[in-house]
Amino acid sequence: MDLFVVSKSQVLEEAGRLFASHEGCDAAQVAESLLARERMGSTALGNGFAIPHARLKGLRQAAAAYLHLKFAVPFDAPDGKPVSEVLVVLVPEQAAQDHLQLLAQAAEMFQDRQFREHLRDQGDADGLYRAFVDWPAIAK
Amino acid sequence: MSTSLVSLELKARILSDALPYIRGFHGKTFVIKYGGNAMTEPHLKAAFARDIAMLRLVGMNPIVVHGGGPQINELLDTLGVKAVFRRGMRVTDEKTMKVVEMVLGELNQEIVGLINQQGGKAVGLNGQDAHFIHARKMLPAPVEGEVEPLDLGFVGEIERIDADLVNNLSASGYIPVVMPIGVGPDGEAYNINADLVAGKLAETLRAEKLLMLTNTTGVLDREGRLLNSISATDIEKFAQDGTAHGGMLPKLDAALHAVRHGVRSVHIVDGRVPNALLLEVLTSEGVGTTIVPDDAPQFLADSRRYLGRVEGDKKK
Repeated sequence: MDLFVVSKSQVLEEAGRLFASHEGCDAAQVAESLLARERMGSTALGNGFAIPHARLKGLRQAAAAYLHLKFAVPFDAPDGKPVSEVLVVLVPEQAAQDHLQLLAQAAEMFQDRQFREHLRDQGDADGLYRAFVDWPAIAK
Repeated sequence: MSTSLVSLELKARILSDALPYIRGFHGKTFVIKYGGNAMTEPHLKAAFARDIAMLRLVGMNPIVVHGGGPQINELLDTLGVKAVFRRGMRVTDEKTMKVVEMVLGELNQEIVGLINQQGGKAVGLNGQDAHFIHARKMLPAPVEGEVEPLDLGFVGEIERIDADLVNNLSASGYIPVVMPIGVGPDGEAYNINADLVAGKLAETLRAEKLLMLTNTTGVLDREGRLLNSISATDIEKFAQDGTAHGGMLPKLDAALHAVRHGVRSVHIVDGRVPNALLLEVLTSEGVGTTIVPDDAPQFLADSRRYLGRVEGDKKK
């Protein structure tokens, strides 16, 4: 979706609202948890991509949402570039460390230029979803 | 009609998309090492000058450092100056040094002129100006069987750089264009490797970025695939295991030093792509390899810390 926001904190707030309406999470709690992780170091990877993530109390299983921002926003990325592609990941509080692998895989996907360009070319949610499912094929 | 509408929309979109980049890098200093094909092919030269003028006019502080490699050797050959090599390195005697200064001076004025034609206010500088590049004679240590250090003539290394001159020019809207000549305590001029001057200058100015134009697609892994982003530690590994070799080594050396001393990122840019600088600075996908310091936000390490920390706290 084309999300119109002007700052990193707005992105996290929007993510909170999204998870509130789809997963029944508490919007403010999600935004705060995401922000707490950002304080330990930006989750921006460079080339306009970021993976904000957080552990969340009461969450049964990991959940993710992909946000495409209409205009890139400042995100303290290692390459100094603003971010427009955001994968938000929430993991249950229990055994959160098991989900590190999930984040590592997502980060690896976004290291691949072809995959990044493929994602940017997708016009709708279906295309985006398929891109993630088909990743191994696209990477090849 | 409809195609012109689409193209208007696309044009507006592209211009508008540049805003977050212009905003993020406004007032930031970029040191650009200019060399390779980008400095010899007319259409690439013109595109480079446009990029520099544009970056300046949208509020960034570009500073150019250039070498003179192929042009210097060409003129030396034309003049019939005999080359003397020691340990594979060319000795710069007095006559050679005259030619080096001549070629660098001429190139410098050409670059200044090209940028100014595009509306920039470029100023040519030599390390002599205000004595801003302090150099000393480079004396590589003797190898086995030798007693004296290696004498390469007027080849220097940098002692330090005074940032004042470049900073003042930059703050007043000028674009410094620097040739790699430094001056020793005895007033003697020395020829210095331009990659090293660019790296040291970026470091002294605590630049946002050091951009090095090369004739390669970037840093490649062992299978020849382009590496998008690497860390300072990766560079050390590549130099040791032979992944990086040849002309890439001094560039990576300068890059490593720069990111370890306050430069936020270094970019090895493919200078054969027209407008490579604009693409690198104003779009999400650059053309080459980005090198970041080891203490840059480390996504996985931070995540491990984050996920581990909360669990650790719970056990208490």
